[in-house]
Amino acid sequence: MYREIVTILKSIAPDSDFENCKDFFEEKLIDSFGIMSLITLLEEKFHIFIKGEDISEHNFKNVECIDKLVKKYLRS
Amino acid sequence: MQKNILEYLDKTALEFCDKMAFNDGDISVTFKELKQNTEAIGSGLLQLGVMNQPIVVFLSNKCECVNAFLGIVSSGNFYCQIDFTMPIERINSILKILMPAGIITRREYKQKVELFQTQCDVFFIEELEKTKIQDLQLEQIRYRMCDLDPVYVLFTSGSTGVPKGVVITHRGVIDYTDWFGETFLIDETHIFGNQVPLHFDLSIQDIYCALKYGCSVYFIPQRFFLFPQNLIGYLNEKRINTIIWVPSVLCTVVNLKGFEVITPKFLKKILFAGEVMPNKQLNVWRREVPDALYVNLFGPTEITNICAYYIVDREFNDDAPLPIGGPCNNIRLYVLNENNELVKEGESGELCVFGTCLALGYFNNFQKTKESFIQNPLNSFYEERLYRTGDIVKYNDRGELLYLCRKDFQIKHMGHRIELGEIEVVFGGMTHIENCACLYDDKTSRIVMFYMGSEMEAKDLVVYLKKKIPEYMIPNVFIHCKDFPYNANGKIDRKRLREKFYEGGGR
Repeated sequence: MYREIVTILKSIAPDSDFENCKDFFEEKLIDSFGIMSLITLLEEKFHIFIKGEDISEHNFKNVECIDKLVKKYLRS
Repeated sequence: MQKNILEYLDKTALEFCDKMAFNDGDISVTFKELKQNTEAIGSGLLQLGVMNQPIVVFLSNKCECVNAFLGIVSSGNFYCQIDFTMPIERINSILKILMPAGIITRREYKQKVELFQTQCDVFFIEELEKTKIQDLQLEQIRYRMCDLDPVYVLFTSGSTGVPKGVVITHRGVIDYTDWFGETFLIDETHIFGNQVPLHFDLSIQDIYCALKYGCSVYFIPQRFFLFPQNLIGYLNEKRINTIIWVPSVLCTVVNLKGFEVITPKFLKKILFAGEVMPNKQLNVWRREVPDALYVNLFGPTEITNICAYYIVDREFNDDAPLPIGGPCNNIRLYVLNENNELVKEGESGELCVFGTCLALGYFNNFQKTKESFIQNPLNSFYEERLYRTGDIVKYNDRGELLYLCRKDFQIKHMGHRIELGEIEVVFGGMTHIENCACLYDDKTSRIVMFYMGSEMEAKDLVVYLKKKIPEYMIPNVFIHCKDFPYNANGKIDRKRLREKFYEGGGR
């Protein structure tokens, strides 16, 4: 799961080091258009539908947080 | 008699004195402070001893930029803001054209500015702001200035790769601000939420409506645009009621499901310009914020931002095009065909603009100016200067103008004349499509459609499109993209998209 998320992130910004980054937004690794792509790709890959309330800075700021979010959806 | 944009500030600084004029999250200025800063900076620039010369602003903070802009104008010169994130090569190609009399920056950016290829004087804003105000000299300069003097130069990308500096006059800005204020009933109760960078002319009404009407303007910090929750939260917190944004940003709010969580509480006027606003996303906005006024603005930089507008006054299907409406007051529009005649019913042609809004041309480039600013071919008796926009438009049944595409987007395919923009509107209206851009591959005579959203079988896409548009307009290639390249202003970067296509071997 973790690896798949990293792969998706790399497909949006191949030159960024997402794994060692605690806060994508602080370090400007991703912009609002990037978030749009990320959400579409996560939804397709994991067959989930992320709710608006979960589309927040807190849930997307690093790989661990995204991993946690996706797991939450896969459980439900 | 008004002839100078600073006359706005003279009045508002008295009337709205301690009211907040601009706030960018780091710095906030009142109208009184703004006037004070303007005159101090203006006085500091007097040592240059020049008038009507370009002075470059290289600052990242938007409030400071506004101080610098107005200070430059009060010194009798005109400003040119350089995008802070612009690569140094492009900065130098602009400086080569502009040959500025000075640069205003901060001491902390000194090293960056040292890379600039120019011999001109460098001023630090923190020092300029401390200059003793020279009332008498500033007044004398004001008297000598005329309304056809430049107020700013804005660089746009030229098709050949050499940037073009559009020279805009005091008269143009006054004309636009008057029109904007009268048409949309602007007064001091308006609170603007600025989105676009200041080197993009869609910011002009944000600055000058504040100066004229005493509105407050929040320059929304970039980080709020990442998530719609934060963005709308910010709008609500600051009670922002007026926004003039690019459509991509309005679309992001919808596509990132912002309205599931939060709705804007105070927004009353929502205007957009810079690219085509898709009705699919606009319809969501209209549903979620039903009481707001929605306006489609249209115009190139060369005519002081906007020449046509359409107040959204009826329902539109998701796949219908939104009109650009009709001319602003004090502007006349001509739609000319290839033979320089007015178009006949149903015929498309190039939009040409007449009015006091016209730029003085391209800085240091009379050749390019002559190509785009022309004598009205319908008038052989006296000088009537038109700007050829390069935009192809046509009238609909209601007499409203519809934007079709850029002149260079118009293609001939299998003997048919096709506007690629038209295909985009229809294709973008499909449920699973988030964004799309259409190109024409001359080499292989194929229409190529790039799209974002759920990936779909080309076969199914064709079946859908055949219901909407003639067969000869159906794209030959469909390329699903995870994301699009965007330029600094948030528009789709079509040049890079095309490059990507060829890099991929023209799949």
